[in-house]
Amino acid sequence: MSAAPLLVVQGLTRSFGHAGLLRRGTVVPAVAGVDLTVEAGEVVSLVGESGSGKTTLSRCILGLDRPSAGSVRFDGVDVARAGRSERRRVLRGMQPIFQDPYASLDPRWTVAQSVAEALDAQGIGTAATRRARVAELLSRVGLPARFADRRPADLSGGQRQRVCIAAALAPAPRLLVADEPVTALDVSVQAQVLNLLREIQRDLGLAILLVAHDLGVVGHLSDRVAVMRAGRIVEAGTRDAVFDAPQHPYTQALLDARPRLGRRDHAA
Amino acid sequence: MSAPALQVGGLTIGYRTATGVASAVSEVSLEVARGEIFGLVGESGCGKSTLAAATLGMLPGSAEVSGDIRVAGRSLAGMDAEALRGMRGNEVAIVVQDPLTSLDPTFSVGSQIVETIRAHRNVDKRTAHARAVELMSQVGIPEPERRFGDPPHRFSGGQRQRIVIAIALANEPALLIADEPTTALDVTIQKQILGLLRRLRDERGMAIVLITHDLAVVAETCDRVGVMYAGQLVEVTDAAALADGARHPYTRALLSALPTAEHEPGALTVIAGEIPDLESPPPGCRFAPRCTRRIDACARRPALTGGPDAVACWLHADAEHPVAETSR
Repeated sequence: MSAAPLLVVQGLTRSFGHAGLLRRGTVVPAVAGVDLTVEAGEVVSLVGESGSGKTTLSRCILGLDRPSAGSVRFDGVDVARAGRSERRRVLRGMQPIFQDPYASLDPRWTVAQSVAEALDAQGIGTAATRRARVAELLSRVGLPARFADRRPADLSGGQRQRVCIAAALAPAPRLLVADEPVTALDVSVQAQVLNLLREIQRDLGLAILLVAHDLGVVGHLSDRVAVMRAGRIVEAGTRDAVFDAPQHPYTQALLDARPRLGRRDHAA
Repeated sequence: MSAPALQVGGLTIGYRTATGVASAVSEVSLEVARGEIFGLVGESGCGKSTLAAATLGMLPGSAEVSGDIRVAGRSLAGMDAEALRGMRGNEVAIVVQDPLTSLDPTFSVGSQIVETIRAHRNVDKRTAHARAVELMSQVGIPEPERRFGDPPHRFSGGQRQRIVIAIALANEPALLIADEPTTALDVTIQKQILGLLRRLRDERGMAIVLITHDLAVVAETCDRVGVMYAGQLVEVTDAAALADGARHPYTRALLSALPTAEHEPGALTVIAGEIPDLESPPPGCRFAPRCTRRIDACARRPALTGGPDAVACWLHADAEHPVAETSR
């Protein structure tokens, strides 16, 4: 691939300073000098335990948090240095999916309103084309058209996460940033949502940056894996390299600690 | 030795709602031996937490209960509130998912252990203090004498869960109910806490019912596992052999829905349909409407039969373990 990667993070640092109240001006870097790239159409996972900085990093990438140092380039554009309209255009290309589909949806809105919001806010298309696009998106995520008029309270957890995915797909992004997208779901529902993510990633050629603590989920979905600890990436590589031949002691400890069923050959 | 740590016989629990009765637990029978770690798995709404609450005599007033529960041989039926309080913490104790909900933030962890000891035992403060320090040491808190006076927020999440376990152990219960005890913890801490539970079982011969949604945690930690679906206990099997030995179509479907790094990243097997409405559950096997191997017989409920490896499924009814039909 000769083209530049879709997403290039260089030397990204995010520090949360204490302004001298309790800790006399100590600065705690939540993310410290991280380099990361995501190619178009690739699934890259950030794994690590709580406090490792993986969520802070993903928020900086999405423009929801401001890096203290370093840069985020998406589609060749330095997000922090871009002008307002270009910044908006660039950020439209990456869409978030969060852990809790209950908190991500406005309870007063119908499914169609939630999915159309991104289109309405950015004035994409006419009212009629937007309606058609919403119907197409619902079908894309496996929700029957009759769900368009329902509200979040009428949906199961898995159905809500499908609505969130449809809303994320609405502006036709090239990168999904999914922070623990299946953590709140039961195993059988989780499998449905993981299959859906894989399907849309393949069909639409989307890249996914997956933030997750579940190594089974990460191993199932990822092309490449980056392991974070205390704000730094301690190991990065292809899925097989990281899972089969981990180099860093922390990666080895993580893989060793995960509970396992034993033999993994369980065709039903 | 004496009676099993837990005996549940024909337990049926319904919650009265505005529109009817939700059948949360239906005709569940199981037995947990002293010193055994028994896993109880299933997805949200399967009844595993309701079963745990019943074992502790802590069901809400809207619950209608029939059947029998015996903890260390004593039947809970007919116990009044005071007797139940006496039993909780003494014969049976619980550890829940979030240690912060079990600990009082304003008191030292040591005083909370002392309080639990003195609620059930007539011992002086000095004896209780010494016992609390010993318990903190046993659950792996370094320098327990020095940490005795620290409030919960001075401890990490994993250490707080160790303190909660120390409180649960204070009066040497015969049975510990651990309800998703590691779900809120990182994987390396989870491993330590599960190891601690196994060690405490080995040292004390205490039985543990480990309630979890995580099949891999069960396979690694438990002796036997019971699988629940929509209020029914559908299978009881050897935990270490869960991946290969499970026979119920629901258990098999759950296993194939698990994402792993080991197998080729194909599409995961999904279970079609949704969990039934518990106010009008399907007759017979409640999994039948979603089961790919459904047969006509599934309209009647299969009993859980087959000895130590028991399964409630008409497909596994055979001459050796003839399946008897139970009434619904």
